[in-house]
Amino acid sequence: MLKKDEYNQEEYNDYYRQEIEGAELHGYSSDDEGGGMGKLIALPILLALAVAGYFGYNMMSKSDDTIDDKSLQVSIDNLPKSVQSDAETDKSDTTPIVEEEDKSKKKELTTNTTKSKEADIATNSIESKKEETSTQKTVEDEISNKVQQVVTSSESKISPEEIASIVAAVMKQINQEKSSSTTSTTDVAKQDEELLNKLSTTEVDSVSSDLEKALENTNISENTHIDNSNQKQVDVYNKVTVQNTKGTDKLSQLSAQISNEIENASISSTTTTSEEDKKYSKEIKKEVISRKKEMRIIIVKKGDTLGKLAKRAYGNAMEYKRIFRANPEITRPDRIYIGQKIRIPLD
Amino acid sequence: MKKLLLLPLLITSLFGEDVVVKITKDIPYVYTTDSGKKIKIERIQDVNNRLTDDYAKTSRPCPPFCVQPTHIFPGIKNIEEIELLKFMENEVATGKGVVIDARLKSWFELETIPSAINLPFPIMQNATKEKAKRIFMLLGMTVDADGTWNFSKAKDLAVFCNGVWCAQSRHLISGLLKHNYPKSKILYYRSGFQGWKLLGLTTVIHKEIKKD
Repeated sequence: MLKKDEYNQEEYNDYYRQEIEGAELHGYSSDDEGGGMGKLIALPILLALAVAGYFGYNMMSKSDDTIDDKSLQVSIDNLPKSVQSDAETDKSDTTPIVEEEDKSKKKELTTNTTKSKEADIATNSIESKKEETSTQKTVEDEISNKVQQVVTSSESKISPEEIASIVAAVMKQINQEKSSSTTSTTDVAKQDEELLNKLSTTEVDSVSSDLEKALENTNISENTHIDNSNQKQVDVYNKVTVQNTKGTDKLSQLSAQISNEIENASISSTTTTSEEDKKYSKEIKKEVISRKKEMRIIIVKKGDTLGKLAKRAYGNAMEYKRIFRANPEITRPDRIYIGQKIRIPLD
Repeated sequence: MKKLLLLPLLITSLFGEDVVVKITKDIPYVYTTDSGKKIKIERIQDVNNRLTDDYAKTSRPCPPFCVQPTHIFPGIKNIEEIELLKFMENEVATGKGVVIDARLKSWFELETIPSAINLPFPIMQNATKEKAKRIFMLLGMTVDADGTWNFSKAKDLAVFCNGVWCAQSRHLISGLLKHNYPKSKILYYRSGFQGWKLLGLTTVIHKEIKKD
């Protein structure tokens, strides 16, 4: 929980980054030529996205088609092999689920059912499994038909084990197809991403480079800020002290003469013309006092830390956060330098 | 070879003035003088800088610190930063004009706009005719043989105070007008010192606050 006055560095950084980006974009669009350029850049991006979307869609549809074809081809090619192959080799490929199915089928087979019935059971079992994945129903139907054809076409008797092996082979194929289909879709997605990335890097280059430049500049300024702070204080105050310089030019002379006139006038002795003016002068004096209390600038000496300064100013070292907040040029509270001017908020 | 490679870097570092934050697209900085010192008026180059001192303060009790009308007196022309900078380059540099800080002396000493001279608002408000005459004569007014005040050579005055919420300029200008200083020679920088600070423009300190 953050209190009202507490400082969240991350939030500040995020806000600041957004602000910089926003300012840069705004500055870019505010320019007449820049606005035109922005539109010109935006158009190719939109076109690129449209093209990418179109190709992406085509790729998706194509991949779906190929999957269907492959699944059919594989099922046709492999099924006879599985039928011809030995039961022992096929057994090694069976999964625990299939073994369970085997048991159930064995029970059913003991009731001397016909070959067609066995085939129906096999297809039913496949279908029951396929209900989980409704997207590949058509594939399942086709496979079941193929199984039926194979079973009915074979002359010799097929033992329950062999039927189980067929089912296992089909299951295996379907599983492989599933995985291949998922990988193919992910491949398409990846391709789309790559395509978009390629387009974005080429088409949006001018905009992104501007942003990068802006970010680089801010980083540079921050870096130089830190680097220079070791040697020379960065002038974030932009104040020139002229207290010790007494000019001989006309302006300086005029200033001196007027200030003499002011001192001779002695404001306090003069009578104010109206009550309103009196009140205003009083309020101004109040503001002067409050102003002096509000902020003070100190120069860091050897051995000073923000904690020590806070203890001196507020009597509590933990109040260093107030000083830290008032001095945005301090990047880390533990990094202040001798001779550095620090604003100490008072009141 | 290394020396040859470093040479352009050295030259650019010596002569290349890379102003990131310009005043306008064409004006990176402006020169003026203050207390006999040449002052380069530019904006703070640190793009991360923010105001943290009392010019970051948003609210003061109103009255008396109320938002000033756009035109405080009829016939008084308003100016903003660019006009003020041009005023410094032309009028102030040639002695035809002067920038007037209408705030109290303590505020002026603490920090002000370069080339400004201090004429606190109560001075003109409470000035007698004789006092006003002396001040006006310093500002270029002449007195004709018949005793009439001649403002033909009087300086143009660009008056400012703390900002939009500050009525000190209004008080000073009313004092000037009371003693018939010509309206045409008075310019009002309404954004004032807060507006100046907000842009990170160079300021001058006449008296630095020191640690107790």
